[in-house]
Amino acid sequence: MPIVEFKGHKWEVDEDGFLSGGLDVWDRDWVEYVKHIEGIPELTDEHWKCIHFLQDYYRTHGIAPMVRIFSKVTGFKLKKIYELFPSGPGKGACKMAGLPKPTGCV
Amino acid sequence: MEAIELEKLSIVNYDANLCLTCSSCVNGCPAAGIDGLDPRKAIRMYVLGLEEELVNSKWPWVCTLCGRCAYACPMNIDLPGIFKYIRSLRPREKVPGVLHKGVINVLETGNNLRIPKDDYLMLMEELGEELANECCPGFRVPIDVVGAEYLFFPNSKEVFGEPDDMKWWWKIFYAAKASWTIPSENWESVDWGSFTADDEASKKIAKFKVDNAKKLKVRYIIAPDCGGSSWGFRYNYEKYFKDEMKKAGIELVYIYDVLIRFIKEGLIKIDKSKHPQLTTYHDPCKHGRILEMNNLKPYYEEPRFIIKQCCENFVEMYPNRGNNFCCGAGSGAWAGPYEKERVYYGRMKAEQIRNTRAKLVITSCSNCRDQIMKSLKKEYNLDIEVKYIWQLVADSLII
Repeated sequence: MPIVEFKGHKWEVDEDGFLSGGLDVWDRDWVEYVKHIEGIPELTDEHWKCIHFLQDYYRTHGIAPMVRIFSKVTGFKLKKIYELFPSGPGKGACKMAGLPKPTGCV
Repeated sequence: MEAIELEKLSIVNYDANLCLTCSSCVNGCPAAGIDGLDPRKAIRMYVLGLEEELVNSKWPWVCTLCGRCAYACPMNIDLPGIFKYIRSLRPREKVPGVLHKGVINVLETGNNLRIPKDDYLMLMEELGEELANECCPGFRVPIDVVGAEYLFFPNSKEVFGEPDDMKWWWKIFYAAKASWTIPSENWESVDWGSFTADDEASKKIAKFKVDNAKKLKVRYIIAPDCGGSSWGFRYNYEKYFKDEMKKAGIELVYIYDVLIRFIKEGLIKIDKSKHPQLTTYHDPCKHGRILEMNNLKPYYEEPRFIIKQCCENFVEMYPNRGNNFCCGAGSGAWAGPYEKERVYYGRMKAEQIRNTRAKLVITSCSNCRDQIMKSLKKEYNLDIEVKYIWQLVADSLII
């Protein structure tokens, strides 16, 4: 497994750069790291709202939610989600929240 | 509608010993050079007993099995067939990225992303209502309609992440007053079994489609738009399900057959003045070249006919049809982990597009669309808009 390092903190990641240990090893430094690699200028409450919802949903259902549900619960339309996470809900938001990469052509 | 004329499946040749080492295969391969490999070198490795090294390398997964190498091969060696075989030798736990996990998911739940049935049905109901309010009064998504004419399979990426994209097809069906349906279970359009060279899984995924068609007593199955998945289904159809489907009175059609029927029979009305800009078309490998190489009818002229009904100014990109370059995202490369390689691969596509000076690029495969629109446009600074061919039709409709 590749290792990534950011500000002295190391994580194991999978081939797609998602956090191998998932939510068990996820922490705020990981969020900072993904913010850095994704080129997100500033983390806002809106980012955190998304992260917390994705994690809650994943803990309950074992999958990432459909964007429709993601939008409904957070109140953010898809365009807004792309503004918050330029790589999109799957490759961007899920990665930051410590979820596994969704298994579709997303 | 014309039935698809099929002769025999595959004239291809798996005997790599026939290789003359002429490098015709290399010239048109956008993946040539990645990790120091190319089709000729990979075939030499295979012939010289370095099969294990090839299996362990990532090159057979960076290769999109687009078949341009084999199209040029004077000895008619089926290089993508051999590279797919090499993929199949990877232990499943070592298949790159999430591809094998997606295969497990589809076999267990009927879709790659394990989307629960209730969520799927809720989405279809809500989106249907939205479309009815937007422009199609009375529209709702027909689910499990027994006796429908067309059976359409949703792509899980749209159900999961791009739900509004489904509305283009729905608008067309609505305008044509078509009889159609989607299944409530085992509804996945895409075939990642074909991407991971898992023939058994690919056959099961095809069987989901055939079983749904028989259960719902439909007249036509619409092959997936996703190139690799359409080929995965077609391959299994030819090999295992053709007689069964014929007996049940079910025909396999491609998206082009459906759109052309709607246009030619006057079921939909098109206004081409909505697309005055210079427009070009990217041929997906598995809707054209791969079919041609397997003695099946390639869809080269049909998409061009459709586009010319919807656009005022069409220009070919070069090369095109059987000689077209792959976008770089086929056979799992879009969903796979080798992003840098995929972008590098796409440089030739970007150059082809730029050379056309077109402002609108049309294609008819989900992966091609995503690679060009979401990746190459940005990476190679292309000033273009990209649309699916059915999106183009939907946007040209007079409702």
